[in-house]
Amino acid sequence: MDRRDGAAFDAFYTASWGRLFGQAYVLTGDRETAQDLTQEALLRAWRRWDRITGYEDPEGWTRRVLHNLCIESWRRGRTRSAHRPVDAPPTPDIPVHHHELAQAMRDLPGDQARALLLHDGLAMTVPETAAELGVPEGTVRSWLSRSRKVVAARITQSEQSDQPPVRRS
Amino acid sequence: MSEPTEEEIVRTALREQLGDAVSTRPPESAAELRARSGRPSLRLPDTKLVVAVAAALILVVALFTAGALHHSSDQPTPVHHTGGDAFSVRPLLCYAAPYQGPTTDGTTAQVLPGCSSASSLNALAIGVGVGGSSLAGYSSNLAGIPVDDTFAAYPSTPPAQALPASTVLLDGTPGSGPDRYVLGPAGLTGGDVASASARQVAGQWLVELVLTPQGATRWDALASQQFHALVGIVVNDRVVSAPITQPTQSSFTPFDGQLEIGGSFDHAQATAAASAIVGSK
Repeated sequence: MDRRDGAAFDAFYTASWGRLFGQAYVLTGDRETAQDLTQEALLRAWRRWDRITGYEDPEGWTRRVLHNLCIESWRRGRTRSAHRPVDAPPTPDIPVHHHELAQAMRDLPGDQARALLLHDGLAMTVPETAAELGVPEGTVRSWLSRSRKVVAARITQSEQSDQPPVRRS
Repeated sequence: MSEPTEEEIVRTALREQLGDAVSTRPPESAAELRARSGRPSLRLPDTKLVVAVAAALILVVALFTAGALHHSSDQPTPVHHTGGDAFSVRPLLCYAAPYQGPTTDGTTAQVLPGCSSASSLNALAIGVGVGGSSLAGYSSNLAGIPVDDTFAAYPSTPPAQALPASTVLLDGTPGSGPDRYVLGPAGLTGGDVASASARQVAGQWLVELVLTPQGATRWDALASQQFHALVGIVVNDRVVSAPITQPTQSSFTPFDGQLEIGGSFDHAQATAAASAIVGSK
């Protein structure tokens, strides 16, 4: 018997899709990969939906799965990166600095990229970030300060380059 | 005006990008996603604890219908068959140690011993637990099952003797997973494959097989026999992939004649594998 509540899942899917996709895009820098991984994470959420809804924050659960899928996709891509230093040319509707951001995130160790996304991107607190990553709060603080330097330098550099970032109006 | 701090720069960039994405539309409806969730899957076990080589282990063999692949960025590369005998799917009996014996001429007939009970990869020993708190959606004892050292004294089965009905000892893919595998008689061979295509999903190259009606029946028979256990996918006398059957499901679901092979493939390797598979019809 399928005890899962399809209507509740559909509402969750609609409400959370853009947020989850955005995180996958920040982490992968590739629209198609981000879409595929978002669908995969949501598919896994639906497979366990009866459990997830019972006692957990469904979006939090799905987000953790998604972030792990994204970091795994880096490792798969890394062997090819020697041939493709820049993952893919930015598509016209994606501002140039978005692409720079994703590249900078990929240069970080996976956990540091996740910490930065959770704390600076999703506005989670240090204790919440530490709990999600399963590391001490002090570790999160030192990761944040280290990884911000790397990412900020990269973004600033790209904004000062000849090709100005194209912003959406 | 003061310069923005590093934190402000990063926060602004991240939130702007996340904010832009919120209005993006999903590629399929929730109902479409739910509809394909019941389709069966194969998962490559996380063998990081079994072998030290981790780089190529981020392999997932999953089964989707073509509909689930509509985001792949490359068109499939269809391959036409020519003849030969290079493809089989077999029950995986145990992982085997590298060969340590004297050099052989590669033609000597070998009678293989059975796998030791400690190394045997039957469903009971693997003990798949569906769900749980694991990110993979299942848990198993697979990482604790040792490689069978007895086989260090046995060379790999020569290609000429790797007949479909034989139990065989074959090499894995260098740099990926266990060194060698002991596999039972083939449940599926090249003649069961209607077509094979190399395609890319989420940046990873896969070989997608469509089976003949007879092949679909044979694959379901093998996969249900190996439910919550492993199968070895053999291309050109090497095991290219050794997934667990449907570990996130509590009962077997037929595969509907489709099978996707994930491995540490690049484009050329996936195309070559597809070519070898249809070439073995």
